[in-house]
Amino acid sequence: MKPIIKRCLIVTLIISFILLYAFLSYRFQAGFICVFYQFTGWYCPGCGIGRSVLSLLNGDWMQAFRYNVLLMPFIIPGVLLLLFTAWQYIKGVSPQDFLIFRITKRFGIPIAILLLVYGFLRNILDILAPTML
Amino acid sequence: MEQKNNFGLLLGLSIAEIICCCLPAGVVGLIMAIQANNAFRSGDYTTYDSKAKVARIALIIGAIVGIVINVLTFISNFAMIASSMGSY
Repeated sequence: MKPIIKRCLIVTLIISFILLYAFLSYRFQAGFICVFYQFTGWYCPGCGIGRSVLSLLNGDWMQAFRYNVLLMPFIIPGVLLLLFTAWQYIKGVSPQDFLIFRITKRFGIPIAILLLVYGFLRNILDILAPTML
Repeated sequence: MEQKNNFGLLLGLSIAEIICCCLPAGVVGLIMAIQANNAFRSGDYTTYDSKAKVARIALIIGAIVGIVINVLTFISNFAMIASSMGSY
């Protein structure tokens, strides 16, 4: 099998799995759980992002912001960036040269610090907790 | 052979893990990736290799834990919903 066809199949498989998981989660309201929250009872920086996406799909922008105010504005650019990464993978670009990893190489440390501070703050400030409006 | 620095890749995966899978493993991966990058920049490739390896292992363990727990929870939720639908 040609390498490009193999890479296309892998990307198609991953996207199909994500779409199936998203559909089943949406249909049966049994979504992605946070391992950190399950074990500690504390919110992590990503808690509420799945519910935020669902609220966004339902057109409820305010509730989407309420679930995860830091990451919600980056959902659409993030999805586009992941799709571009998939395209780079299919084209055979080396992982070190993926745009997403060049961005993280440059801005990764400030992003990680921001995420960790946000994760800490949302456990002490109720306004940042992922709850209903 | 020229040594390649995987800092961007390790950092990106650590951030993804902090957001999606398992915060503690993501933080370990992040710290180890930063230490590996510092070792690479000072030319200490042996330390770079060992730190990058620890970061990779932490990220793999975190991803496996996150995926396994999510899949198990999803299956149990799905089974509960299916059984409650069947009882009508």
